[in-house]
Amino acid sequence: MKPAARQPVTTTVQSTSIEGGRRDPLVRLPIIIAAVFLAAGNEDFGFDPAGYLDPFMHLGYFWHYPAHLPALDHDYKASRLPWILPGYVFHWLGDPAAASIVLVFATLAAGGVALYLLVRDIAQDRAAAAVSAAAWTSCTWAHGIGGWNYQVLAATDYFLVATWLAFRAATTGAASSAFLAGVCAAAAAHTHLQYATFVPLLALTFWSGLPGGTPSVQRLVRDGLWGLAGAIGITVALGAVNAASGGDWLFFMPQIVRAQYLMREDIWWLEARVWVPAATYLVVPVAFMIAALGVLFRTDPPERLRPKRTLIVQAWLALGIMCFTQFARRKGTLDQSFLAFPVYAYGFPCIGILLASRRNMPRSVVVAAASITAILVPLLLLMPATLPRVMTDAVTLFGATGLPPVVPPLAVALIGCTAMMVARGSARLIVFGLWFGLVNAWIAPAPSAYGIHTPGYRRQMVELFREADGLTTAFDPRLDGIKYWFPDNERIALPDADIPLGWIFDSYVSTRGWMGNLLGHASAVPLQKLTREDLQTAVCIGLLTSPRTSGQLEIAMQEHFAGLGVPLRRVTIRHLKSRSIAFDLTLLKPADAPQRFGPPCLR
Amino acid sequence: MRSRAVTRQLHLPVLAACIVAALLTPPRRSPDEQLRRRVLVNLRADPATAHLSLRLAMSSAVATISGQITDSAEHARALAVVEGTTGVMDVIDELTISDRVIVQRVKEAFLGDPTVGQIPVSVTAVAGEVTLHSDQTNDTQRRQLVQLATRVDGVVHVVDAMK
Repeated sequence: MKPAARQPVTTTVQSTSIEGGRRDPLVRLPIIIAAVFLAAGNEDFGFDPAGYLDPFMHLGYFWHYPAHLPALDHDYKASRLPWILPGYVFHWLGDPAAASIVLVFATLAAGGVALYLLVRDIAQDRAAAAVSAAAWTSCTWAHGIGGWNYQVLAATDYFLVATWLAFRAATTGAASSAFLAGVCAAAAAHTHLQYATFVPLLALTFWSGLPGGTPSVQRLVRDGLWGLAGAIGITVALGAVNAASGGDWLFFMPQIVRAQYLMREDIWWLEARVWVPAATYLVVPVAFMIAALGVLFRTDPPERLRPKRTLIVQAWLALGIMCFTQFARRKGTLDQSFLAFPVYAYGFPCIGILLASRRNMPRSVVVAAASITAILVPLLLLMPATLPRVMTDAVTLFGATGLPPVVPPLAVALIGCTAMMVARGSARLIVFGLWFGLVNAWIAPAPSAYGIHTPGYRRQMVELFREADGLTTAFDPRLDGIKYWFPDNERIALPDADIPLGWIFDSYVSTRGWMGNLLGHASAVPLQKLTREDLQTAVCIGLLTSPRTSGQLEIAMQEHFAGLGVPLRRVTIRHLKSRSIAFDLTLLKPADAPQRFGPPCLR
Repeated sequence: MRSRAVTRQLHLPVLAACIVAALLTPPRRSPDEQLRRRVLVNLRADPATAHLSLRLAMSSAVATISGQITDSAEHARALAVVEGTTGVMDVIDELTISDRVIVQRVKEAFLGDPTVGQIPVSVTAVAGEVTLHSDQTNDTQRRQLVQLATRVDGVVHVVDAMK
């Protein structure tokens, strides 16, 4: 065959209606992207850094949910059952690294798939849905605070699925969709209570999907009741699990009590001037929402425009709710990155709506692929060092070094949005991929978690924590007999740089309730300030040190308490060591404590 | 219908991706389980412990051994076998001498003593705590009986309920 005789092959990504074709291979895209990030071989990807408390407390629940329950059932963190129970099951099935990887993969992929389905069905444009889902799965803030050990990405996944199902219930009339929307909405609220304030917005989603004209009251009541049944059903099921595990039926009450307390006085609440200048985590969703305002002025066919416009309005309503809580009620909702993450639940659908073609115009699959490539390349090939260095140089070149950190990336994002809106047709997807890929990598909270085969320590740290956990659980099965201590001025050597030992200490002790198991009831009490009274609640002392100083600090601890009339003896010492990180854990107990049957540190 | 189609499309790639993720994780046979099996093999290979019905748990190379033994020689030997297995870093001892054996040994100790051997004494034991009942003893005999019981292997404490 002569080359000239070949017919040109044009592959297009057809826009699709909800009743369209049954096969949709693009729905697999977020799954593939999540797998690519994990396969790139970054040891830090999906694992939390040393020094974090909350994710490691949650990790402790995954490891010891039944053991924690008697002590921590009234803790608001333990009441996030739609998230803690799957985490417990996966960690029970496999080793901690594998369980974390599977959970991170599942949360990233599930959110991307949900976003794809939502944008596809509302905007009726598969290319736009694919690009926005790729952006979601590649979003560096979702990786940072959305790793499975933090609850917000899982909650956002539940909410995105609920939003899609609510829209689907409206368009198809399927009672099962309404029921499942209720299930997912309740799961989102139980996982992160902020989503309870978004539940009324789901009613708007449902309304926007209803066929034209005034919906029948019968239809509204029927689907509303199905949704309610789903929400009550999952709540009762989780309550039954909690009660069967020895906890309360009303497992969700601690979160509500906590929220009420914080509404009265939130000691962590920050003034806007403190957090806004550094709030790079808001750059992407806010830029998306500002750009999407353009959709309100479009002249698409009215039937198609209603769900799109409704979604944009919902995004701003959601931000309004969070702003009201932050600024009027003075409860932190936007001043911390993980608290602000629900903004993403509507921010990303907004960009999908904006990217969608107005009238089912076919899109080249090559264009969509190029856009997705532009999103992925900076993370995989220009990180962890090249892109941050280039962007720092660029900021210096433009004389913007004195500006608050949030300004340069926001400026680039808004310029990118403007260019995107000026661009027509498929070019809009390319422009989006270029600016989002750049900004997304630039504002990454953990640049070291990207690139290909980047070394790290976080995964090894979790594996060492699990080894220490096995040791201390054997000696102290109820997890309250060992009180932990570390020398405040020590550092732990890593391949790249040292980190304070206290970061490792805080994260490890967080897996066993943290505050309740600190010797001296604080994280870094100087040795000389420890008293006999500090031993009253301790059967054993757990001494976390660097390998270099464990011997001398053990002696110093023994001399200190011998001086107080309580000589100590060593129960055991464990050298915890991996390729990148090492620390020692020594258990001591009063020398005159009676020898007794069973675990030596059991209270 | 469509949700079924979506589900059908999703479950295979999800499963495949999970397998990929699992494969990316370095294969990890449970070192604790391997170590536990080695210790059990050693316990069965030792003539002094082979006949014992012992339970063994392993957590981060900390062995917790429990079960009932008959005397301190068996106790010491079982602990030595566990501690001597390469890889075991700590041993938590939950071995106990059975209460039935303790009662029998206490009674034998009483019968073997010419001064108190003929006195009817009821002996009970719970978790190594022995209680002596009798209404035919004087102070000297009671002291002697308590002393004899205390010396018996496995006795943790003696409660004197004699008159």
